[in-house]
Amino acid sequence: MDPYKVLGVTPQTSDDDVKRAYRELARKYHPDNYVNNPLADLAEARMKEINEAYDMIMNERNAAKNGGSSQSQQGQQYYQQRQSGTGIYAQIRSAITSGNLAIAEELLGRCPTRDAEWYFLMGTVYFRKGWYDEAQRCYTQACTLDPNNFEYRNALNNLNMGANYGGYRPMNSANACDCCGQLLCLNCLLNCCCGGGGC
Amino acid sequence: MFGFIRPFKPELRVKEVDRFQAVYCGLCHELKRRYGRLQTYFLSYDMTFFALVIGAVQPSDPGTERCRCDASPFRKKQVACTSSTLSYAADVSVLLTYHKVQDSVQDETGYKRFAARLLRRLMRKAYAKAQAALPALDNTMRACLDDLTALEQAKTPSLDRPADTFARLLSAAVPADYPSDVQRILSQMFYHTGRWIYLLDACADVKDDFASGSYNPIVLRYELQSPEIDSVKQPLERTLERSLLDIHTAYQLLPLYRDQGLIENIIDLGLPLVTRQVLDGTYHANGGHETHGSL
Repeated sequence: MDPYKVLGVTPQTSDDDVKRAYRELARKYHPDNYVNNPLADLAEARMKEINEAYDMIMNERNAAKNGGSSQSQQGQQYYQQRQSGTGIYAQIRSAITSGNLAIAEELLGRCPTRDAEWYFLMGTVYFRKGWYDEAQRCYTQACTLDPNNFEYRNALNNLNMGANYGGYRPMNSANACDCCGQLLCLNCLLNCCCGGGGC
Repeated sequence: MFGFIRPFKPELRVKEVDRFQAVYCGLCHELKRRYGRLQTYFLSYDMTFFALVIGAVQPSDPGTERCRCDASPFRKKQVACTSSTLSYAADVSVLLTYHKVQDSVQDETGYKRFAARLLRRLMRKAYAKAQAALPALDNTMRACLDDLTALEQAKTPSLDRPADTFARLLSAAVPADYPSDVQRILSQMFYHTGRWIYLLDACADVKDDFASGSYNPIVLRYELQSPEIDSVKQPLERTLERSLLDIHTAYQLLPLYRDQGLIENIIDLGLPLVTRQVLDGTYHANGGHETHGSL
């Protein structure tokens, strides 16, 4: 692996610019952009490669500068999904986590009761499949049945505002709607608190 | 397909305009060479995008040559040379066109149905050839479209269920001989491209379908009482935007050899613009001018 090629820089690039290139790439491939995405593993591999390349360059340069090794920063911040529930729901959760959507869907079909958690899990299966309208319906139903559950509300918020991750805002350039802007900001705040704060 | 996929020209560089044109013309020439003149009339920007993307992950590119054609008989144009990706895209295009005509034969009435029947007859030979080239893809397309017909007949009040059939159809069109990671990325990209095309087409058709009483997932899902989508514009925009995001995140992982700027222009500017235009009711097919192959 040529670390310079990975970051798209040259050995002549200044430290600041290497850092900038690294940040840019890390923002692009951050696991937050690939939550519930079937390509999450590929993004993670890319992220690892970028981190390693950055470490390699920085370590090399620091060693050249002061003859010693130094620690470098890592941008990784993994999204922790809260695991809860018992019995069949726990089984469904682990099926979803391992990407086995067909099994999760079958187990959900077998559940006799359709409570808030059922709708939440069904919504997550739809989310994974990219069936966003169905996911939205299920999450909304879960929030209606259990309005105080933070996990469900967070999932619904993530779904509704997902297109703001990674700075990709396709529909906003010509659609200068103040209300949307405010909602975006609010959601970013919410996500910062919840993603980083470990709620 | 429908022609929703196009670059946003004001942000394109001159060489990118030329490149898009060259791939469009290259695909047109390939269709004519392999399947005859008739098929070239069904060439779309959507297929150009498809050819562009599946070509960009190939290490080698045969370049361009200068050719004349029906649309430009006097002045030679830059045309992408024939390659395995172009001929593959041409095969896929023929299959899609045939199935679309087949669909019209089933759905339309009167003279339109007659025209579709005639067209289907004229296309039979080309279809047989494309089917022989890609038998597995043809089977998948058929199965997906059968699923779609069943959902339409059951008047399914869901956006995702019918959209999934077209999304699966398009994601099956990814070449089977690519490395597995690239295949996975392209499948995800074209799944959501298909979902987006289907849903956007449904948005554009709300007025017509409302008048004719044909199946329209948006009318049924939101229980629309009038042929206006203004009241449901926001949730539609959101769900379409989600697919655009998935196209974008998948694209980011794609190891590209060329045409990065052009593909990014289409994904990040072209698709959102068309989405907005369709939802606002300001969309015009072919950008308002019906000129063959010009952006």
